[in-house]
Amino acid sequence: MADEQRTSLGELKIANEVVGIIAGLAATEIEGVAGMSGGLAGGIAEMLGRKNLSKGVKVEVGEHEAAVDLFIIVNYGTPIPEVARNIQNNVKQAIEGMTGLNVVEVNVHVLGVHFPQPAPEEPPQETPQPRVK
Amino acid sequence: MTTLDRLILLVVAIVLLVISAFVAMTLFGSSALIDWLLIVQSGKFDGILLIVILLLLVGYLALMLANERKVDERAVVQQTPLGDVRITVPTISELVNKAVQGIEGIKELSITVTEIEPLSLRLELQLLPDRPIPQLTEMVQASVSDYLQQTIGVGASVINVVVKGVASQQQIRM
Repeated sequence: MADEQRTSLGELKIANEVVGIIAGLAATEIEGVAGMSGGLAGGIAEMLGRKNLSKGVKVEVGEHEAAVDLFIIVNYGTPIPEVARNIQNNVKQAIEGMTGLNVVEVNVHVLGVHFPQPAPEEPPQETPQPRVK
Repeated sequence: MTTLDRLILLVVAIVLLVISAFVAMTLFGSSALIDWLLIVQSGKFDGILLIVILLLLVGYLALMLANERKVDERAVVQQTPLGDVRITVPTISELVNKAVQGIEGIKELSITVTEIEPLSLRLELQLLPDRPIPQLTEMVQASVSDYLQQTIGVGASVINVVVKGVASQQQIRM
């Protein structure tokens, strides 16, 4: 499935995958987003070394319009409505700016919270005792 | 379940059906399965590879099913001009857990989101001894409600707290 546009010189097709990647990158740029939440197949693909840039993104692309669903993990301590609003605006701008499609819907699904790992305590550095006084 | 998962499930199902058919035919006197085993034994056909592939596929399916936990799909939905913002129940539980963790005097906590609209919670607590229970539970309710209001923009309308027990000195040391 791909978005198809006619120009004077021919056709322009934008694959759904491309719209998904644009949306995924635009969403992860926003402060407070810890990452995208993909399914098991996406996780296995990443384990096998294939970087999945459209992980956690579902897109529906029509001839002139697109709708996006984003599945995200937020960082602990961030106000979720504000993060979601920033994501919606950034994703809409990115897709519209890069593809010319009109984005009619950006639904944000918050699936979890990422808590920062406490930094491991460094052992106190022992000053070596001089061997001779 | 993704398309890839469905495809693998289909392949495994077909292979198992073929094997079952061969076994059934053997029971009714056909020698097809035995002939095939003889071919495998003679080394003309790498049957071991087929079995390894099948076992790998079954392993992948088992992994997939084990990973497919029952996820609570309910969510607090906020409508915006650009679409919906859905904050799932597991997210709310994680946030409540974190809000309560900062309160001294609580040993264990179990959270249930009983209703979404209006947001209602049931918290089951196990407390440390020698703590004033009414003040502690009030503090829990206030902290959770304030924290949810700040973080998700919706405070909990009902927070029922159930004190399930008080930890003994022995349990605290554990």
